[in-house]
Amino acid sequence: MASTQSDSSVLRIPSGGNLVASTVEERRKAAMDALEAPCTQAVLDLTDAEVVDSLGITLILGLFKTCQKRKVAFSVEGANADLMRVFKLFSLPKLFPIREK
Amino acid sequence: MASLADESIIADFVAESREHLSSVEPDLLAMESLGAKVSQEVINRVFRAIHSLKGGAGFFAFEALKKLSHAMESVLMLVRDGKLSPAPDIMDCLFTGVDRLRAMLDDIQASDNVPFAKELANLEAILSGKGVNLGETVKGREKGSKRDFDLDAESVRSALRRGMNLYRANAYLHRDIKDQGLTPLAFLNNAMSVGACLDAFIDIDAIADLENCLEQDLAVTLLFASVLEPDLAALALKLPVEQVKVLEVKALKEEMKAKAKAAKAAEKAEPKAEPGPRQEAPAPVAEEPVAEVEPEAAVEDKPEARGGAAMKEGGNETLRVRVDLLTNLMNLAGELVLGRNQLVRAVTDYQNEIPGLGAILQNVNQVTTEMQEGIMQTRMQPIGTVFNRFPRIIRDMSRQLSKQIEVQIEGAEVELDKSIVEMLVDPLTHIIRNCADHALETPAERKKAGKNPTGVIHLHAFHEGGQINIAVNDDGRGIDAKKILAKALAKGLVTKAQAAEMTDREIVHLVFAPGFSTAETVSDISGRGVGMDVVRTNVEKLGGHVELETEVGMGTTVRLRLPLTLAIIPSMIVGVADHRFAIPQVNVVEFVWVKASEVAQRIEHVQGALVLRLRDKLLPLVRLADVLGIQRLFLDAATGEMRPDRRASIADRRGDAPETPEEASTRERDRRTDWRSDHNIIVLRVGKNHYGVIVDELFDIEEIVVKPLSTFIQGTKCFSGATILGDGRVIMILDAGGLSTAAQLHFTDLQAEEIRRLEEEKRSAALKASRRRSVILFEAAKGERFAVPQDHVLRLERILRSRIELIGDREYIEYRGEGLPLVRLDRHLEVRPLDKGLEELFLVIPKVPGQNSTARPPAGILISEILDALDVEVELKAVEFTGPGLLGSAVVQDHLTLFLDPVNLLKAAGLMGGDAA
Repeated sequence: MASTQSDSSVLRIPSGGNLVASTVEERRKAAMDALEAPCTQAVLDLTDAEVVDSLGITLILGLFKTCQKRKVAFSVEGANADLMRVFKLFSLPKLFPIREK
Repeated sequence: MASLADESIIADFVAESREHLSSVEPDLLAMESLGAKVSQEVINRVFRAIHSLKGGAGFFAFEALKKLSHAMESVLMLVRDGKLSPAPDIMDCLFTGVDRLRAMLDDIQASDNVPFAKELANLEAILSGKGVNLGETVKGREKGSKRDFDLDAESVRSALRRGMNLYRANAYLHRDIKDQGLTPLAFLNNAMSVGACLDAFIDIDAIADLENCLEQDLAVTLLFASVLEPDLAALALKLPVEQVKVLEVKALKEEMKAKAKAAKAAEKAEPKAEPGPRQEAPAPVAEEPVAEVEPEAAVEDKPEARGGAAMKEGGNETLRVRVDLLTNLMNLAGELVLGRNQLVRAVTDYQNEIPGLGAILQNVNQVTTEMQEGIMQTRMQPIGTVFNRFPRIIRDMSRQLSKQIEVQIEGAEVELDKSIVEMLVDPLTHIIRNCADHALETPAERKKAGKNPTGVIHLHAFHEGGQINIAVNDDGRGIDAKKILAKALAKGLVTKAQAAEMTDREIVHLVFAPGFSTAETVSDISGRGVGMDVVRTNVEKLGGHVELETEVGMGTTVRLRLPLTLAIIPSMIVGVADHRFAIPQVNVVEFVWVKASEVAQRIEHVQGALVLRLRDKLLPLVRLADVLGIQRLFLDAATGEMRPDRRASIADRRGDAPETPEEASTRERDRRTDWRSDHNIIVLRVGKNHYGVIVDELFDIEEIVVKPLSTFIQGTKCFSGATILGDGRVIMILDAGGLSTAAQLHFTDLQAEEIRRLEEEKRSAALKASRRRSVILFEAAKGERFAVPQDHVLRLERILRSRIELIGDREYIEYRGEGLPLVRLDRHLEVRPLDKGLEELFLVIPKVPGQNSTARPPAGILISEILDALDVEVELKAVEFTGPGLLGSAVVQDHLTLFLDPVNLLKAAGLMGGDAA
């Protein structure tokens, strides 16, 4: 999960593809690395993700909790319609903002 | 957008939401018209409808729909709580909101693309003025959990109403989803296929951060409604039984009620006069609440608050069924009816040979009919579904046109086949728009005309003669026949010659001609001149008929007559030559059998048209064979063969065609009086007019299944469809209206002739009455009889001859203290004198026109005997001799009697100041 930083306060974290069992560990590490950089806001970009499985959801929630701990605002962007449905049904938009693709 | 829920569930939601919006509009109109006086019940109905829609939208994650309905709901809540008055600008926002919601429902999957920012901003502006926070949510708390459920109260109520169990299911993301080879999407899809997911959330407390997050098996908690029993629900959710817990419904209901009461009490205690910023209330935390919902959720279920899938008070459950299923059933029922007809036709002859066959046939017949009627019933819809959209249309139009218009609806419960109801939308909308745009005057014009400034459009549906009548009446300016005619002439729709012969009614009906419009300006509402002909065409396509009645200055009524259904209709099967035709029974008034020997008395020509005199009315006749161009045949009694009928008309007694040698040889067996030449006439109804169709044979009434015409014969006026008879024969269905048009029947000509004949009869009756006289019969000399009209006689007096006095050459008698001159008939007429031997005589004292009955009479006429007072009907004839006061003679009671005019007689005697004899 390579990270890019558009400005000093916003950290953009691209998903780098699907967040599924085979990829989540790698993505987790990448995210942790990215979060080493100081920021006030972290955005997980799911534009490249078609599928997010149970582990993917767990990863997103872990990311959210980490940001929460560090008092960094967390949000998700670029979720496709299917992902939006899942997020909504799991009430994730009540935890953090999620914007559709 | 891919759908998580099954498409059919979303379709149900859309259908229910549409119904909610349809029911909302009349209530919004009531709120607008009644203002602060509107009943709480009306506001609650609107509130519940929008709330339900919002709940569904949230459930299916239709964000735009949810946001807008939520804002509307918030405004309605303020109105309901008396914090906001339903002023026109507020109502405008709600109306436009409804429009936008409807637009979203039109394409639900693209609902988020429908622009609604303006509507939302307007609603938010209202709310911000009242300090309302749009972020209010419905809160619920699951037992033992720190997390609130977001419950949609309506969904909960709906689930409970449908007898569903409520479950709290815990599923672990790894163990129950990932390890089962499922994605979260697949898991939720599966859950929603066996019930309704009311809410769900993930317990994130178990996770600390990214470090070890992937080892954590997070629990997903579902609040789930299903009709399944617990063990089956667990099985269906693919979860261990212990992870699926039943929620205590009774406790939930009680909790809902208790919370509602508490909330109401709190509202009452809360001062209402301060609309300052309102803080979002924290979710109340009860000791061990199962669920907590906002107050309206606990409002007692009322039938009117429920949607189409609700259970009514009486326990009649309703079920949504797809229209295509019903249509398919309908078609199958049609085929079954055909099959039944064919079966009955095929085996009827064997009824005597096969014991019990008759009863079986009867049973099949009855069950088929009942099933077909039942299926038809499922497709019936109240016309109110169309009518109810007009108050809103008129509201908007009245604003646009600066007119005051009231819509009155009567008979909204009248039911019609769904297909007809749908096809009525456009014609009725056009008629209503015409009423508002053209027919109704501006308030100023109406005031000037002495009318109420508010114009009225009255919609009325009712049953009549197996048909549905829909009348749209306005009290506007009416249609001026002269203007219509001028326009029609200018447009070349009629020629001057035609115009000269047209009645006002015919002229007014020119508005149904294609391209006709009298609108002086083309508005964006109507007046493009493409409307009324489309109305007529559409109504006629439905097998209906449209009529127009108007009176200048008083208003106009457009009346539509429609069949109840289009699919299976009872019809009369008739025959002409070798052909069979079906005539829909709704058009049939009666059958008339005219014996061949009575043709001369009952059938005649009036203004070139063949007419039947039926109960003193003239009924225009058409020969079906002639209209359809079929060679007429008759059965030759001599040979038993069918031969061409060459008579121009059945009223012809011999015909113009020269007699053939064969005909001459069989003249003695004249078919003009042969029973085989009797005529079968079917009297048909087209709107208000009736006419007779002469056919060769009448068969039976059959329920026929209407099949649409092929495109290449759709243009024919005479046929409305085709059907298949029991014997497999394909026949055409006659269109009564089209047939009369094809036959060029002019009902108005006949009506004029009828009126002329009626007047003739009146004159004749008057003449007859003039011949009827009440007379007094008397004798002067023995055997000479006279009669005098009773109304010319004041009194009859008996006198003694000895009392007559002679002064000069005139006789007198003392009568009521004065001398009364006497007149002897023989002195003025050539009749014999009175018998001198009579001691007792009588006096006829004439009545002088214009003289008071107590005034002194001018004279008395001496007679010998009064014979009778009676009514006679006589035609007076001139008598051979003439004399003053002699009206004429007639035979009364077998005696020649002279009729006297006593006043003229007295004049002749010089006793009335007239000419002396």
